[in-house]
Amino acid sequence: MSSLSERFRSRRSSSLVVNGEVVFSVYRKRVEIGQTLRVTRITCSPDREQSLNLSCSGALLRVTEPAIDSTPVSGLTLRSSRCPESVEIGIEAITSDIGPNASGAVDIICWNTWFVDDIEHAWIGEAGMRLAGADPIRLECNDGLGDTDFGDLVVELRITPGKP
Amino acid sequence: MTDLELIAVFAGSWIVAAAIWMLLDWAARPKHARFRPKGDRIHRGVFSYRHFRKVRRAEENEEVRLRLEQRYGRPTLALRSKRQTRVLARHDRHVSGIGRGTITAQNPGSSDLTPALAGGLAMPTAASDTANSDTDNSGDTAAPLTEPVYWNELRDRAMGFDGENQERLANGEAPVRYNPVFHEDETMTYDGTTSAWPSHTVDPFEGFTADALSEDGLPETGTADDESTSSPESDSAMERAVRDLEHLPEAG
Repeated sequence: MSSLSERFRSRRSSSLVVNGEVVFSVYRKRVEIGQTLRVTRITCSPDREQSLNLSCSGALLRVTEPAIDSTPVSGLTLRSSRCPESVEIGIEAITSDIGPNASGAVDIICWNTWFVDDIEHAWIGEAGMRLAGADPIRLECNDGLGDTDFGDLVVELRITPGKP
Repeated sequence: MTDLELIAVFAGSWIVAAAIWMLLDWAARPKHARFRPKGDRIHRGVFSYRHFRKVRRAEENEEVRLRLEQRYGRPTLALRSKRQTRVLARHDRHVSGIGRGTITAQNPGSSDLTPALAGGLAMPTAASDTANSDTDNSGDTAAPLTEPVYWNELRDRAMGFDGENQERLANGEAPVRYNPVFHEDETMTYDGTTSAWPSHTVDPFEGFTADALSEDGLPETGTADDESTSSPESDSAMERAVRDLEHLPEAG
């Protein structure tokens, strides 16, 4: 039987139905520029370092809490060995000609990665995520190794209006 | 001979010539219509086995083993599985000069190939051939693996590769994955030391550890008890900047 990643690849899709559940290779959420995203790590596998990656096209992401004076970027990696359990990320506009659409809405894309021998892997083997809650958004992630129990990384995402 | 007979003989001779041409072309075609270099052939037939035996005999020479180890990180090609031999031989048949008559068997009986090297790749190190006491490896560093050898080695590590990627690694090719963010396939790259997937994200916490971040979000500064043990290398950039400011002469 082909793995999740092979099925994602053959279908050129980011979502599958597996045993009646929707499994994602990446999770997309529409947000507004100016909003903040709070990422809370609930559980993390002790076998391997896990990470949640965030990407945004049309806006920039900046870590606002903890105040580490980070540079706004279009893609972030939140590694379990370095990142605190709760992180707040601000969604900022790109100050260039290439900006968001008229409504100021952009898509945040989330996916999980894992580290083996300091090499970051994603979207291979049985890697996938499932949505376990809508508000707050609860993502249960499975890395490409071990059992497919979607318990390797569990995170919650809360979207809050931006601070004036 | 009438005109009709003349035409029939002419056409018939051309047909016979074409048939002979096709027969010769079919007989001269390589087997399975596919070219296989000598190093890729499995041992079917006398000539293929003779080549394998010649490789093995050449590796009894100490100089040959040393050159192989410098290039591939191990001193033998012959004691591998057939697939591993194909992968290596395909990419460098000139390392040992095999087939060119430049290597002579100086010590045919001095074969000290480590049995542990047979049947599976081991992590190559400068001291892997410990039985070869004639070679001084004290100043050598581990030779970088060639790309196909590296990918072949990665197959044995549990990283999540399966199915098609396992086959690719076994054939010495880089693994691929489908990137759903950009809707395209990506290939892992190898820079001679390590491998990595293409990455478009930044770690904002690089240099931090999760425990080092205090509640107010700032890296922990040294306490009074820790001042005597703090070293410049472990202090954060903020602390170094504060120390620099303290040493500036007062204005006015």
